[in-house]
This record gives sequence, structure tokens and C-alpha cells, in this order.
Amino acid sequence: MRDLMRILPPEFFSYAKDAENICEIRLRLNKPAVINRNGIKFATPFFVTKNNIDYVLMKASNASIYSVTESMAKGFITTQGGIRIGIGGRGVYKDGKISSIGDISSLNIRVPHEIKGAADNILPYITAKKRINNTLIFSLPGAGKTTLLRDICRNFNNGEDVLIIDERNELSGTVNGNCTLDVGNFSDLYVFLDKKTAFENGLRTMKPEIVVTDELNYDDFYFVKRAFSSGVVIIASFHADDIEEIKNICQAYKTFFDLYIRITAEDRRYATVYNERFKIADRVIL
Amino acid sequence: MKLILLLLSIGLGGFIGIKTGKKYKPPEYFFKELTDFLQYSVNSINLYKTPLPSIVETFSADSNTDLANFLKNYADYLKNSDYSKSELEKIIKNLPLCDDEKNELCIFFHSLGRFSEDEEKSKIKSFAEYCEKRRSYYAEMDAKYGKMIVKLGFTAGAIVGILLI
Repeated sequence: MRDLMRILPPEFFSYAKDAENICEIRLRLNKPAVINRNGIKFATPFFVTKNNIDYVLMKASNASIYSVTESMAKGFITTQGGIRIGIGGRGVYKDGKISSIGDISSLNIRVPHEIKGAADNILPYITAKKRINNTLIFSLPGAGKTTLLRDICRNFNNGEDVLIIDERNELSGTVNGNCTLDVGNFSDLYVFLDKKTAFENGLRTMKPEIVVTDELNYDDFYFVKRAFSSGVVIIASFHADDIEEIKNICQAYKTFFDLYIRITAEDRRYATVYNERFKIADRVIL
Repeated sequence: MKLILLLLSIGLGGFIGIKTGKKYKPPEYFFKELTDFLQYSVNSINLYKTPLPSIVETFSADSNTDLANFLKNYADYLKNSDYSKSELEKIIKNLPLCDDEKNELCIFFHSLGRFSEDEEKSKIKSFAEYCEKRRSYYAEMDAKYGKMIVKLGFTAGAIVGILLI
């Protein structure tokens, strides 16, 4: 939580007490800051100024905005501890391509939660039949896919070479080459590399046995398919809430996993496990 | 006794002359080093987009010059301060520069790190040009007046000595 406090304006500290429970902070220019604690949102009496937004950006970028402009152009920056800051503002174009975000008016600070043991109940399914199964984890945003993936990485402790393709630096929270979040001892990292480059280079040069990656896009299924044909196990996540949607995408790209896991956050977090035929196999509490 | 007095007077005059004659050296050296630092910064940003605190720390490590000491304080400022101008002014005020130069330095270092890569590099390059101009000015002043002030010091010392005798 020290990582979160490091980037917040000092005058906001009093509203960010019990930082362990904070999932998200939204700072909107000239509007009250909103804190989300364990899914419950409330507006604080703290009105956000331009200076507050600049302060957070400077702290988050290590006083070096130039080092994060490419990431800003994609709408976010990631800082120490895997904290992802979504950025809203005016798009700045150069040569017809978006080069950065100017006149920044809102920030969405998402705090990752490192829950060791989060994957304990689903690991038996991933490692069933004495092998590691290709697995696609899906849910709506904020249900805990990344937390689960991180814990899965940490659990590969038997010498399997794991390549983590961390396009948004949320899995590992890497700063200056050091992981600030625990992703296990057998992991190699590709941070801020797009999936295409990461899959092409990674499979050729890092010789992984398992590739773990967060937030696949539709186009990424093509690279996953190619990785399958090289005999590499893929464990990935995807934004969706319906197994039918997953089925349609997999059929469209002819890319099929051994296991599909849907995360839902109700009173507790549940994982619904689907088999390779998209049929429910089990439902477990996470 | 008179000879000792004369020698003492010449010595004192010379000492004051040497001290005063060297006043152009520290700012000249400061701007020379600063130009090197700016070049190093442009390279680091160009090649690796290295964050500013790392650039500053790497450049100032194992050095104890005016610029290195300023950069060490600046690295602390980047890491621990609220990025206010007044905090920066505090660490700039003891540098061997005139007020205008301190002001330019403050404006530049306060805005450093706040722009995109291209803007940052062009800002650094234009400030490097300013630094080079200031360095040339001090080098010129040193060549023009530095030695003359030393000679004047010795001469004044000799005259005072003779007058005293």
C-alpha cells in the first residue's frame, strides 16, 4: 500500500485511510474524488485540482512523463506495485496516429491485490490429467482475473519455464527491471510488449513451456493458435461474461483451450469451470 | 624589516588578485559540466527513455563538484518533494551563478520531465545552447580579465608596500 500512498497527493492522505481495502480511486478534474473500497463506492469531499492530477502523473511516471508517453497514448500508465492508472483527456495526434493524451482531466487508479493462495482451488483443474492444461480465464473487469493469473504463475514451482507476456505491466508491476509483485521463481518477463511481438520473439528465443498472458484481444487468438501448434501451454485471460461468447470467438478463430474458467464476484468470488466442450465441469469458491 | 613588509604586501595583493581573478572559473566549469549532463540526458532519453532520477543519479555519482552536489539534491527533490518551485529554489540558491542564471536554471529543472520525448529533447537541446553561451562568456571573461586581475593584485600589493615603507 506504500506504493499507492507514494503517488497520491499528500492532502488526499486522510481520505485514503485503510488503504488495504481500496480497489480503485477516481480523480476527476474539479469534481469530488471517488474511492471504491471492496466494491462500495463513495464520493469524498476532496475536490480534485489540476495540480493534484499533475502530481499523481509525475509521481507515477517517476518524474519522467516522456518515459510513459507511449503507454499514455494507449490510455494508461502502470507504476510501482502494478498500480494501473487509466487516463482520460484529449487525444494528441502526430502523423495521423495518437501519440499521447493532453489536457488530462481524469485518472482511474486501480490498485492490484496480491492474494497468495487465490488460485489454490482451481489449480487442480489446470494441472489435471498429469499435465498443464491450456486455460482461458474470463470475467467482467474487476472480478480478479489478473490476481488469479499472478497466483497461478507463482504456483509453477517445479521448474517449468514460464514466459509472462505482461502487456500492461499489471501482472508483475515491473519497475526498472525488478518485479514488484511476486510471479514465481521460474518466470521470464516481457513487459509492455504487444502480444504479436511477444509471442513471435518469446517462442523463438525464450523457449517457454508455459505462456501466461493477460487480457487477450480478438486478434491475439491467432498468435495463441500458433503457440498451441508449437506445443506451448497457454494460460490467458479475456474480458467476457458469457461462455457462449467465448465459444463463438474460439470457433471463429479455430483456437480451443482445454479449460475455460469464468470468475464471478457475488457475495464471494466463484470460479465456474468449463471443459473443452464448453460444458460446466464444476463450480468452486475462490 | 622593510623588505619583509614589502614582500608581505605583494603577497597579500597577489593572493587577493588570484582569488578575485578566478571568479570566472567556477561558473565556467559549472556550465561546461552542465552541458555534458544535458548531452548525457538526451542520449539516455533517446536510447532507453531512462527515468530522470536514474539519469541524474548516475551522472552525479562519485563526483563532488558544484553540479554533482546540485544534482544529488535534485534527485532527492524528484523523489521526495511535492515538485514545488520554492523547494527547487532552495537547492539552487548556493550555486556559483548570478541571479538571472539561477532563475533560468530553476525554470528549466522545474519543467524537466513533464513533457513527451520529442518536446523534452528539444527543450534540453535549447537549454544546452544557452549553457554553452554562458560557458563561452565566462571563458572569454576569464581570458580577458582573469590574468589581468592577478597582475593588478600583485602590482597593487607592491604599490601599497612601497607607500607603507
